[in-house]
Amino acid sequence: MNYLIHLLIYLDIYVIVALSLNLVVGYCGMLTLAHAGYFALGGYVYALLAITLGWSFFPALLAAILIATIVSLAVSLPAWRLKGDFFVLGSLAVQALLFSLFYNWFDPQAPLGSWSNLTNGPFGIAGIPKPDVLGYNVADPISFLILATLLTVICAGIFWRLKASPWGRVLIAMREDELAARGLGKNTRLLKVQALAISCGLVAVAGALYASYIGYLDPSSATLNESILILSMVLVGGVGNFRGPIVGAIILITLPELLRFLHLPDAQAANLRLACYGLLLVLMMHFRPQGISGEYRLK
Amino acid sequence: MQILINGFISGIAIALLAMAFQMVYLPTRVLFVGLAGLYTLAPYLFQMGASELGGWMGGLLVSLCGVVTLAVLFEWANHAPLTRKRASEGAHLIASLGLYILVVQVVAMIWGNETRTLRTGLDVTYAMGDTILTQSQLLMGGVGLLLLLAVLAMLYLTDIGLRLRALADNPTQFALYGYNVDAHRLLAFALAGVLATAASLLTARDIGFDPHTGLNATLLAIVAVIIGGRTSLIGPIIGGLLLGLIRAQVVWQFSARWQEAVTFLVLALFLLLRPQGLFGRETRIETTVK
Amino acid sequence: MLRAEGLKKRFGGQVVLDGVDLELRRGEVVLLRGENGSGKTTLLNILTGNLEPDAGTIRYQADDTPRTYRFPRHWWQELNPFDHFTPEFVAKEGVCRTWQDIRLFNGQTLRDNIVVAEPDHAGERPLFALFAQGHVQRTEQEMHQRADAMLVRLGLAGRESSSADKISLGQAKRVAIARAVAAGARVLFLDEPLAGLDHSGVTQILELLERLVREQAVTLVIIEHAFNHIHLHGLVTTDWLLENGKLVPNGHAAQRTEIHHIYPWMEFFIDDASTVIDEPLPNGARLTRIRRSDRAVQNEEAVLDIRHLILKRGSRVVIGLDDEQQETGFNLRVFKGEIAVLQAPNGWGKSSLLAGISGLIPVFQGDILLGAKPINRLPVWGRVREGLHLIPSDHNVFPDLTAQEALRLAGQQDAIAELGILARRRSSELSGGQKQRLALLAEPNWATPQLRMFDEPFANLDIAAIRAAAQQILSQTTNAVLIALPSTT
Repeated sequence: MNYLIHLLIYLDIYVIVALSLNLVVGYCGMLTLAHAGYFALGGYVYALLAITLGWSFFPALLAAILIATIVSLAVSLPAWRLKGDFFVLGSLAVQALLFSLFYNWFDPQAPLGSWSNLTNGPFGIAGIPKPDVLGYNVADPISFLILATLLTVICAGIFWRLKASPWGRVLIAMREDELAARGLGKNTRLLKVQALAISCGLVAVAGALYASYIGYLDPSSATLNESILILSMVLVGGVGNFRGPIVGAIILITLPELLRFLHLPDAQAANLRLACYGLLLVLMMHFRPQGISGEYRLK
Repeated sequence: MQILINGFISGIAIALLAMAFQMVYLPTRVLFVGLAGLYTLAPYLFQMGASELGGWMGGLLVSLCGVVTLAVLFEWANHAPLTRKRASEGAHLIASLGLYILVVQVVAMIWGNETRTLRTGLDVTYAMGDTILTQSQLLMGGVGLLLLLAVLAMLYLTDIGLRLRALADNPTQFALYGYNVDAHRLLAFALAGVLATAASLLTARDIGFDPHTGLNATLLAIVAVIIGGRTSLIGPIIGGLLLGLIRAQVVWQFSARWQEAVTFLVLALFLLLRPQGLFGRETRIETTVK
Repeated sequence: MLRAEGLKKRFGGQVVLDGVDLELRRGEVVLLRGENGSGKTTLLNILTGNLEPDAGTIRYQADDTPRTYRFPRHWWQELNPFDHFTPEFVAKEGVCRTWQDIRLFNGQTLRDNIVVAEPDHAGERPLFALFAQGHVQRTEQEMHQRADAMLVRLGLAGRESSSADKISLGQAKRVAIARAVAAGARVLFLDEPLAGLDHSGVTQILELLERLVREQAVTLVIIEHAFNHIHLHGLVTTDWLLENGKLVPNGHAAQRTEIHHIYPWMEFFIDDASTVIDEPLPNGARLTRIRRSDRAVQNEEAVLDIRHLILKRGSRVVIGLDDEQQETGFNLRVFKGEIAVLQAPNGWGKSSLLAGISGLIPVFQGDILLGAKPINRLPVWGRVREGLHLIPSDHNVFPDLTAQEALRLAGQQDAIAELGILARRRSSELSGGQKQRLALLAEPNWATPQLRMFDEPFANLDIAAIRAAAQQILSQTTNAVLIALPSTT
């Protein structure tokens, strides 16, 4: 039972991640590999505020969203200049930068949270408190699941409303033909900034949830492998609509659980899981480039 | 002086891989991230060959054959079919990334995750004035430089090179001249395989290797290509050398752990201020249909 | 409405615009004329913010707040996000354009295609979309009604929710114009609005344009191929002629330049004892078979035999429609010894046809036989090695290779001497005429060709060069020649 709850919480977290990425990949047509960086950023901000300043859940969450939104400029400004493949590379650079910040911003002599040791580097931050919502400590799995589901529903609602709004329509117009959209007076640069800011803000929510659930955070959650996992969810499920990313998140969360039944040694199992993701990506590109239930093929 | 030479030599390694990347990118417009998989595989095959066939010749033979076969396989089974389906650039990139993950994980499953080295014991060092060079560095500098020159000579002096440049320049017209585009693409991938093997083995001898070195090296190479100019064949070499020098300076001035950050900062600066790179041409705005 | 002074633009070493001055007044309908390659499209791209000129001034005053851009711009101007010279800023000044290839938003419905263009929609701000849904929805409804009314006027009633790639070419062009108007265009630049349309399509576009001018006083600037100029006569109030990088205004009597557009190719191909056979092809195209006395013609032996061919670009059939617009397939035979000249209006699909024959685009349906051998399944290079040559109309050189390298690649080493000093130059540094000459010289030279195809081989050439090009085409031995040219009538 606890195992099922654990799985559902994971699913909640990754549904938020996949939906937020879908906003960029599916509605702007831009492949970004920096998303794990923002996921981790949300987690780090939350963890630091909760541990060192003792903030409760919602204020810390808001701060995480705010900071991720601001830092999203690091991807959205290059997107003005870079198109297609080279945007992917640019986002990869941002990813590497964020990872290197999390990994290197530490000093064994200084206490955690001070200016010279913000992230505790490769050792990670341990002992992140469980969410403290309006004085109630969400410690047991069931209530955490409720909190996570609540946040997921809110994020999905935001996504849904934006997607159906005139703003979502301009995004699609930009994705279909950026130059034509600009020729109609649409400020596509602003649109990209907005879309990436919203997307990064949403993924920070997921990051904060993750950090508070696991209670431990290290730079490995900001690696490229993590970005690729997130991207595979969106691409396997399909982009450009609401259900695609959710389908993808479900598949990629449950698939490794199935591999567990093979009883492989731990190290082998991790490798096998990643190998499966790789193979899955290749096969998807060949046989169903729009994803399992997506509407839009990448340009 | 020491820093300069260190930087220059590591720059050559970057330049080799950047050249491999460009070898595929220019004629096929595929961002060949799978290159990182080839880079990862090479030293393992070398070790296997060296122990089975004996000696570094055997290792070289096995790793070259293996990597080139895999590179050709990537094109034949993945990129060529995708191109026939008129798949997008993004699909090529994702599929290539998928192949990279697959190769790396398989390598890790077979040979394990720990770091290894191709060298036994300490490296021989040579002192020249106040600079000290290891044998690996000399090897990398010498062989790398020779290979780069050989590739340039091949591209600019031979018929095959002319054809590869033509394919890069205007693939449609190349086909209309009656040349087999598919075969030349295979050739480009094979050449990339050779260069990647060289870069990988030379680096592995110097600083060792594990299954995850490939991606970082390839990212550096891609940065070098962007700095040098993505439409140019000389660009990646200059970009690679420049990057090597900058990174050596960073190690000297700050610490090795900020190398990546500075590298990507340099990339960001280039993307903002000179997106076409040092040797690239400015491209016209896309107003006509492709 | 719009005034520009001293606009200059060069590409590589080639000066395209050399000090263009122009002024556009409210309600004017301008026909921008000029030879191929004279820079019409470049000028349009500059005036609509798609391309930055090297020098000059542009002043937009379509609305109350005029805006002036001076070129070259300083790099620090790029740092101010509200002062860019880009299509979106120019569009906000009321200057919009349509595209030759239409560029509707294909993933969206027709209604959305028009609604999306509406300027200053509150719902396009994400915060409004999230928190002021009621307000947004009210504006949405008004806009939907306006868009639906617009679609009814375009004759697309009931098609509001159909996807933009499912309508005909003429309808798509009308929707594109309506979209630009919905975006608030006071000045509208039209890039070949009539290309590829049949008679009724042309009429409908003209009606729409006339109504825009009459009811909304929209100012129009039209680029159109010479053979469509005749349709525009009632509409156009001003003529601009672009010549040698300068604009000659008000050349109402300047009909003479259009004579240049009629290629004098006929006299170069026909000798005294030639037989000329004219055959009609579907949709206003014409095939002229020239049988010269110095080449034996075997009527029985078809070098090229095309049967029931259907070619598609996206989901639109480009080749294979008959006069009733039914998909019956395209048929064409070229016999041994002939020079076949295919003349078709722009947008008819000449280039697509040649691309389909040579394998550059896939055949949707039908057969292509070269000397009785089916070649459908051969790749492009396989067809070339079988003796099927194509010299395309553009992008037919290797920009980064020198001319002599290109000739070496084609196996035409002997021709290097002919180019003289040009041989050492890179192709991107050659002028349009020189490029064309190089492309004709650098025809692949592997075996005796069966069929040599030329797509608009005389574009960008003057009379002397056309004569030389015709000689070049005639000089090589071959079984048959197929030349595609734009219609002149």
